Amino acid sequence: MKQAEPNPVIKGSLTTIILKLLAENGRMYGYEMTRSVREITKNKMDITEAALYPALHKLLEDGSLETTSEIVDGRVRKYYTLSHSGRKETVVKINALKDAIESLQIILNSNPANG
Amino acid sequence: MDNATLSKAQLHVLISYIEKRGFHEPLTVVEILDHFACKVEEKMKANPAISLENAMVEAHADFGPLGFAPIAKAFEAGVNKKYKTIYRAGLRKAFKNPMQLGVALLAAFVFYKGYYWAYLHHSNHIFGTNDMGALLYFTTIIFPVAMLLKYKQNRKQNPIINAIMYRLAIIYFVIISVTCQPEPPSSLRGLTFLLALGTVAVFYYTLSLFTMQATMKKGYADSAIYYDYLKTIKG
Repeated sequence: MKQAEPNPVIKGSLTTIILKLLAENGRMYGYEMTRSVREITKNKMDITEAALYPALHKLLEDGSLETTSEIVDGRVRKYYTLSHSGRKETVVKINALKDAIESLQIILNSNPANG
Repeated sequence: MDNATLSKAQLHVLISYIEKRGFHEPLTVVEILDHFACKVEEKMKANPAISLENAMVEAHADFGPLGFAPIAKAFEAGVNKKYKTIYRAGLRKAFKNPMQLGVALLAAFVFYKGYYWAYLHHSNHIFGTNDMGALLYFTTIIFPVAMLLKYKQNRKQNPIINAIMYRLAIIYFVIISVTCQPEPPSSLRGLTFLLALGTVAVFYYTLSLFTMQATMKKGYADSAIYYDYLKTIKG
């Protein structure tokens, strides 16, 4: 199954999704993140590698994430963890996303006839 | 290790598959490998009858139309940025060090006085412009070549090298423009001053090469796990 380009709304929230996953699980590797999102959303959401890795490297550059590499199952696996600043940023980003979703819901549920 | 976990020989096949798609840099190959291997294992677990070749083709298709390129691009850009930052921080530290400045000024003073003295005593075979030229060629050509030879695993496309080596050319041309004037000053003081300025420039250029070497050393220490791993798999 070829992956389609992710929904732009999801793509825009990808860094927050990554931060949230790491806050919940401690440390994760790239493939584990994509699988985890599929499982949590019951296959409704699929993160493509084309979107995931640039987002991970952006977070690394910003200092929100740290990495460690170790040999697992006969290959080098890179684990991502939240840095000290990343933990603070996670709370801020999740709250911002929740507020945005709430506002969107208000707009989507509003009755234009009342406006 | 369960049945779906790929063996060393199968991982070698995966590495060849990645390399055949144009990704040869060891750091990049290893970065792609784990994610690709996880996907291949997922295919083999879902369908135990599938061949490794078909599992690889299906897993590769799952990466989307650009294949491994987004992972490779993001990884190389990340490495590039990381070592540029380390190199810049190293340069700032070295250039702000008052002791280094003291040594540079002392070297310039010695060259200035030495050239002046040599000129007045008709002894231009020492402290001459040829000495400056020799020093310049040593630091701009021999040192970087020796540095590259030391790290034999270097390749042109290595992101660590790309992050810092291109700066050589920029600094080189700055030094050339300072020291090699088309019309040298006619006065002895002017020429001597220019040579002293060149000494300071060469000193700081050499300092930047040492910083570059330290950055490369760190880069290779950080990536040793990748190189050692590939050696183990490829035998």
